[in-house]
Amino acid sequence: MNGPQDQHVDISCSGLGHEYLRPGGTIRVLKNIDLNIKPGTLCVLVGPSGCGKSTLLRLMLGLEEPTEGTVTVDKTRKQEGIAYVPQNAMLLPWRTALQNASLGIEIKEHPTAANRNFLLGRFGTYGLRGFEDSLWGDLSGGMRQQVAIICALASNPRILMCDEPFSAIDFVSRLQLLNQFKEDCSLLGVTTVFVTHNIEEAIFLGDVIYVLSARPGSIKAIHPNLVFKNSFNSVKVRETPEFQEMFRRVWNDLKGTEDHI
Amino acid sequence: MKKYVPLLIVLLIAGLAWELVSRIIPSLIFFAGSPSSIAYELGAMIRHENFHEHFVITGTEAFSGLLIGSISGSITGLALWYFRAASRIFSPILLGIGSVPFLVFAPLMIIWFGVGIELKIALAAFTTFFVAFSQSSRGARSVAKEHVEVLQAMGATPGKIFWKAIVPGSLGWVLGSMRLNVGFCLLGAFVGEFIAAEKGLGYLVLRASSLYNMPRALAATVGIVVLAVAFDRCANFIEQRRNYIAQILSVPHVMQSGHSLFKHSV
Repeated sequence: MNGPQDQHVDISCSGLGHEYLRPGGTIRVLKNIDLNIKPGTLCVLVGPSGCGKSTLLRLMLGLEEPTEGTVTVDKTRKQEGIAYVPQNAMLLPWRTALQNASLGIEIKEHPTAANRNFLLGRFGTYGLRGFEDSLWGDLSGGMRQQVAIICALASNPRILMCDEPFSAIDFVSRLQLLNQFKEDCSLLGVTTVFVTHNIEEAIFLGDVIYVLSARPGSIKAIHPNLVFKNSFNSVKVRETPEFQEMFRRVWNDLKGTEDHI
Repeated sequence: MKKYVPLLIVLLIAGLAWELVSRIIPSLIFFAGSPSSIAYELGAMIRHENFHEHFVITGTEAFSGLLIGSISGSITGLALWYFRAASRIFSPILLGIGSVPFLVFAPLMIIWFGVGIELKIALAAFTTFFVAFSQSSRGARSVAKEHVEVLQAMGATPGKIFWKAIVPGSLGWVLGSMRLNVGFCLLGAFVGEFIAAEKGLGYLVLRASSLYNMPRALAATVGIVVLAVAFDRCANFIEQRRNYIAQILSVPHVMQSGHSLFKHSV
């Protein structure tokens, strides 16, 4: 297994575990997580609710300190930029949609008129034209999530972390967004960690699928999944036998974790 | 304007009743005045006593105090979020001083600022400072954790987090404290005029009441009510535009929206 010093690893966890202090004792949410994510990989973490997926992401982002083991994010990658799409897109309510989308750029540098035009173009691509000057409270949950994704990708990050970004979006829009999202990620070549509980989403997006067990979450199975790397149509992909096969495998892994509870 | 019709009707009925009672029992005017006698005294002061001059002086004292106290208090409260080590030392000290009734410091202030307009501004600034300070430091601490974390995760420096999340995020508290301070700045100016003054609405009230001229004291009080309502409306106007102000403060120029101060959406 590659060590944290290995140059070809962007994110590495070894022996990672985490406990939360709660009244009446500690809750162990993660244990024995060993994983290495190579540059440019779209890595999907799929698992049942409450298995610690989000916690794992927060540890990788450095928002929390692990209670066991280590998590290392490549230093130069960190400097080049990390973007984060939180679960319930909590961007800033006093900003308009466009201003929120520019947050990622603003953190890195002073935005220019070119940045503004680029963002306006992205609003068009994501079907948000006309909502640029709407305040955060006037946008629907789906729109907010789209703005959060535009924001994350606009800063041209080297590492992207997404925490169930599409869970609040209706089914039809989600299929379209997934195509756009996958295309953008592969175009940017960004190393992505994508957390979801949706198996179909995981199979369509992931180069590697990590299946997590129920709490305390640990890695139950790793499925390399490069068959769909260059397909950007989530509807067509669903119909292929390879997709069905992978779905069955991940489903069996997850079903086992559910029985466990 | 339609929503004010019931209010005006109630005021009119109350005024008429007050007037009627004072006509039936004229001695009541000595203790509580009557609308007509108050109006008469107000007219007399405007004609013979340069009422507008007193009005402007009290207004200037209170407004200057409000600006100085609110702005410096808010800046201190927000800055102590940024300098957390200093905050542990200075927050308790400032909150301690702020909880002392400000009149306690009035004798010292006479020595420092004399008995002129500076004293009234200082008293108004002193009271408003501590309200603004405690409100803005609470505001800074109550900015949603998620807002800070999104910026943190994307690698924002503490300075960027301060300007892009803390300052705009606590603006609701800061502007809310300004609204609270409308009352406190007038109180500061008024009490200052009670201590020593030759001009101002507080001076008019004090002089009229020492001559047992109740209608005149109440007429001067009307001036203070007018000031309070005017300040409150201004503060309300600003408070309703807090999103726009937050954008001006924290969003780079090139990303500013088409909103303006007068055509806003809240």
